[in-house]
Amino acid sequence: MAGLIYKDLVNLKAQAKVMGILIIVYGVIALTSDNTVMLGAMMSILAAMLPITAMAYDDKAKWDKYAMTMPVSRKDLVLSKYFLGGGFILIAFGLNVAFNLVVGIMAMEDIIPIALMLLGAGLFFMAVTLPLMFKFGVEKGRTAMFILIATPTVLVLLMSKLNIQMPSEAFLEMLPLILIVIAVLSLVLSTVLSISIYEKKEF
Amino acid sequence: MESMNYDVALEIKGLSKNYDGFKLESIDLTLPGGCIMGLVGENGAGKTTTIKAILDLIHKDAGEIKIFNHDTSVHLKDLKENIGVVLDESFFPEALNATGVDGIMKNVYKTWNSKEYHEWGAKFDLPLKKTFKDYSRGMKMKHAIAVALSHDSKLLILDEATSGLDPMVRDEILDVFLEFIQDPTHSIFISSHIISDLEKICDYIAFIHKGKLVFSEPKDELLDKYGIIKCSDDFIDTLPKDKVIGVRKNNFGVEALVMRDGISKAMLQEEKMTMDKATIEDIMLYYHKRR
Repeated sequence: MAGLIYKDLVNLKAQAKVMGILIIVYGVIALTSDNTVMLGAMMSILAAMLPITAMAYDDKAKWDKYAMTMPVSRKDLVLSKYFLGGGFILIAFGLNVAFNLVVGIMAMEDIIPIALMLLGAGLFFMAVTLPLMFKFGVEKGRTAMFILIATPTVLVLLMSKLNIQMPSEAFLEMLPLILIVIAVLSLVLSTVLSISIYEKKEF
Repeated sequence: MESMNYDVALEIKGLSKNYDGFKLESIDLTLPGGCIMGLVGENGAGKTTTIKAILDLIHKDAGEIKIFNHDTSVHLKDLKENIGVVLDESFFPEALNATGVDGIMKNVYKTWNSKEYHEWGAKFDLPLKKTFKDYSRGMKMKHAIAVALSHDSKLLILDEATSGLDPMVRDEILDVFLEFIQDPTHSIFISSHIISDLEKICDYIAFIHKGKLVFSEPKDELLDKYGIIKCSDDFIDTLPKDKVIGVRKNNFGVEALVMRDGISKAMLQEEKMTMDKATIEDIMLYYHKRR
């Protein structure tokens, strides 16, 4: 398992520069516009996308087939991607909190709840996308992913058109917690689903 | 898992796998320890399917596979510590280099031996820092073989490991295999359609044709068993059907692959024929033209 994650990290090293530049650009935007939410959201989603990028490299080299000849189980192969993504999303969360504490643009009491919401969003994104990638492969999986991402956007647009009332203050205060619970539950479900997809897979 | 028994490296019984349009039917194979078995057959005969089933890359529909006398459906993960595999067209991601692979394998195989890996790398002239994107096919194959040999492997499973390589590289790799097999606990199971390579190194030849095992026999016995005769069409018809494997017609008569025990010296003298040795390739080709 450690070997598999190490392989992804080495593989993703090429992405480090691009990621660094993106974070700096968004960091500058955050400072000049006095709004750091975009930066946090961007980091969380980028982190959640990393396992997919790693899988794209794997697909290209038909690595999974090769990996199956090593003493690793199908379960190990699946879990390694969840650990990889989860780890990066947590790092993004840490960076986001640290950045806000340092620059002090956001009100102190908002920093943790907003960071938690972005953490939940990142984890949820990963929970939804990874089973699709394991099922359809990265190429086809991406199409399915965009359809899925578009759905909530359309829903929100529809809801705003329908003049539904804004949720109450109390609900908004609970929102970070609710999101984290949803994210964790969906992650558990997602992992079980991915493993069962992968167990059936033939190479 | 109890201690390993290297007397029988690989034992396959009744292996079957159904695909839409292709069926691998009840394959039985035994590879004794210290030997090399070559798996031959036409494209799509089932060679790769057999190898994939051994490694659990595909789920078999029926059959039992044992490696070192351990059932693979229970112990495969542990067994893989001592199995070196080279597959056709499946490699390490392009952004990696040989040094990176060392770091990965240290964390994958308990049996990984960095020193040995670097020795093979030096022997094969593989650059350590160059990413695999810049490796030629020959280098990728050699690297895959270096990895396969660097974790105390007792069994090598090679699927088309020499195809697509030039004769010099192939020869170099065959020598490595012959050196590997000097240890009586080591065995090799290799598929290839470069029959001449297999004829050079194998102790056993297993021939799969349209998903069925035609034979699996020691190479020397096989070469003794079959012969090629050139004769008239009428003569062939006088021979028992089960002694004539295949026939090729030409302007002067026919050329046929026959079982040597079906034709006596007297018959040969009477017809003024000679019997030539058959190569493994002859045997394969005539099986295709079976009467």
